Parts: sequence; structure tokens; C-alpha cells
Amino acid sequence: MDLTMDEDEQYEQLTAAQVLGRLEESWVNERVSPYLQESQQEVVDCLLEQCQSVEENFSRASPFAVGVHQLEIQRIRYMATDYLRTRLHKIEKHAEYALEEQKDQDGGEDAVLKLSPAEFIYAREFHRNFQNHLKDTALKHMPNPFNELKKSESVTAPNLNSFVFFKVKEDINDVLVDPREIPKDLTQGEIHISKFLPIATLLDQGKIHLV
Amino acid sequence: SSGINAEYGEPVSILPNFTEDKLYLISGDVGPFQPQVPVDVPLWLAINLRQRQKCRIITPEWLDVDKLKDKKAEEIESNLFTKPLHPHYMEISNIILGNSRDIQNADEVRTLVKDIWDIRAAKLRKSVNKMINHDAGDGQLLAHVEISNITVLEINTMRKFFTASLDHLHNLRNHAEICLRDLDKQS
Repeated sequence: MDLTMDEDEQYEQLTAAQVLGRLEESWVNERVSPYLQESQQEVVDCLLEQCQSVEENFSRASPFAVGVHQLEIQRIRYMATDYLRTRLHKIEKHAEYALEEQKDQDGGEDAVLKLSPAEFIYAREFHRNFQNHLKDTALKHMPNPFNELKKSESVTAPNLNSFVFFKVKEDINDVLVDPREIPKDLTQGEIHISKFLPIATLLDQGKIHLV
Repeated sequence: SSGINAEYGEPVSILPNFTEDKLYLISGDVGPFQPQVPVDVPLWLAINLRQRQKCRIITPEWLDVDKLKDKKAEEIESNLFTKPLHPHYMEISNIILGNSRDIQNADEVRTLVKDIWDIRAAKLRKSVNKMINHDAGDGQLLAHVEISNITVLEINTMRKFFTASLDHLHNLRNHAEICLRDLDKQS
């Protein structure tokens, strides 16, 4: 089964193995980056569907084949669920920040939606529950003006200036990895350390991956 | 492949002792399997088959005593990291050696890999120390460095400490600058 992606008006057919590679890379990027990356829900859904269709064919396969396929499916499922778990952890940590960011983007043409529809609902519910919890357990017992949550003060923003390790996937020229220095040229295969923010766009564009 | 190839996905040659048809796995085609006919399989499958005593593992070409000896000498001589024999040399050699003695000169290979790891670890400690104490002359902290021949496992040994230290240093420096600016404004 192929995952058909729309890229610059060309249809790109990916093999199952390539989709798996995409998940692996997104998984590592998500684990290492200080904040949510763009949701790869389609990749996850596609692979889990693949796993399911393989399982449906088990009755026709030899015991040996079933065993090997099961091993592989377990590996893929773990990767997918850990990817989603990592994202959930970040959503819970930065719920308000993520919701605000999504709101600012809504309607924009090039909106990069970090949260999948299900994640958005989860973030909203989690945030709401958390705020109610704070109000019920502490805030409502406090005198004015301390019994309200001020938006600007309650947001836990991620530290986008954390340091990350990244590997270069293709040659890129004039990258401002350090704003105090001149732009550098990055060659494929190099591994660099820098703050996350200067290279965040390169990561979104898939020109580098985190390590 | 140009993407990440996690250690367990690494192709490894095995000698099966059974017969089975080709398998169409999601990660690629594997087999068919015939006794004593070498075939490439992903490492996770090789280990599983080895544990079930259904195959022997063929020594990867880079896990060779002479190659390791040369690499060790190269690593000792150079101040910087040399290009590792394999980007996941430590993990793969440990996985294979931990599950079989099929590798030629298994003990010597194990010792050499460990030696190479230790030499590189010492260099890494020194580098991390230098990077954290880095002062670009005008009191500037380190904000970017290239460190190309390192492996992921080596990064993971110091990742938490290293990134946390740099984050803290930059944080403190930013606060200091803000305070100084405020003082200037007041005077």
C-alpha cells in the first residue's frame, strides 16, 4: 500500500519502507526537540493500517512467517505509540502555549498545524481541566485579586533556545546557526550542535534531522 | 538510505539452517531462506533467529580484528574524533557479541571495540569540558559547534549534562545582560 503525498503539485508515491523511515525520523525529532513538531498523524495512521492488513492475512501464512511479521508489527507499533506518547507529554506540558499558537495560525494559508484534530481536542480538554483543578483546589480560597489565573502568567512556554544536536541531510548554504557570527555553509553528513530556534525552519523543511 | 537507520534495522548477513519462502515485510523483502545460503536480514530478525538457533551470524566486514586494530591506532594518534568504522559500532557489536560467539575472534573483537570506545570517551570528556568553558574572547559563550565524527550513543552519554549546562550558562548570561542594561538605564 502506498502513501500518496501532495508535494508541489507532484504526487509522490512512497513505499511502505519509506513511510516507516519517515516515522523513525519524526520519532527521533520529536523526542529530542524542545517543542512539538508538525504532526505526522497520516504517517502513523498509514503504518498502523498496514500492520492491521498484514495481521488479517495471518490465517493464510506459515507459522514462521506469522512469527516474523508479528515481531515487526510489535516494533512498528511501539515506535508509533512512543511517538504519540512523546507528543502527548509535550502537549500536557505546554497545553496553553500550543492552543494559543494554533489559534494564531488558524485561517492562515500556510498554517502549519502542530496538533492533529484529536490532539487539539485533548489539549483543550486537558487545559480546561487543569485550570478548573487549580481554581477548585487553591484559587477560589484566595482573596481578590489573587483568585484569578492571568493568561500571560500561566502559560508555560517551551525553551526554544535549548541546545540540540542535528545532522545535515543535504547541502545548505548561508545558515545563521549563531546570530552573532557570519552565516555558515552546511554539508551533508555533518553533525552540529546549536540552539534550537535558528535551525527550526530547516528542521520543518526536512533539510536536517535531529540526533 | 538517507534517513535514520536505527541499529536494529541494520542489515546483517546470516547463514540459516532452515528453508522458508521469501517474506514481504513492511520494512522490506527478506529471504527466501535455504540452509547454508547467506542472506541479508535486519539485525532484529537475525538476533531473534540466532536466539532460536535457526542461524549463524556472519561477521560484518567492519567488525574485523585487523580493521579494528588499525582504527584503534588511528584514534590514538588523532586529537579529534576519526570517522567510526560504523555509525553504530558500539551498539551493533554489543548486540551481536551479546547473543552469539559466531564472530571470528570474538573476544579480541570485543576488547578492541571497548578500547576504541574508551579512547573516544576520553576525547569526548575533554571536548565537552572545553566547550562549556569556551570563551570567544569577548566573554561570549559557545552557541554553535561542528562535531561530525561522533556517534549517537556517544552523544547520548553526555547529552543531558551538556545541553543542560549550556542552557543554564546562556540563561545566566541573558539575565546578567538584562540587569546591566537596566542599571545603565537608571544611571
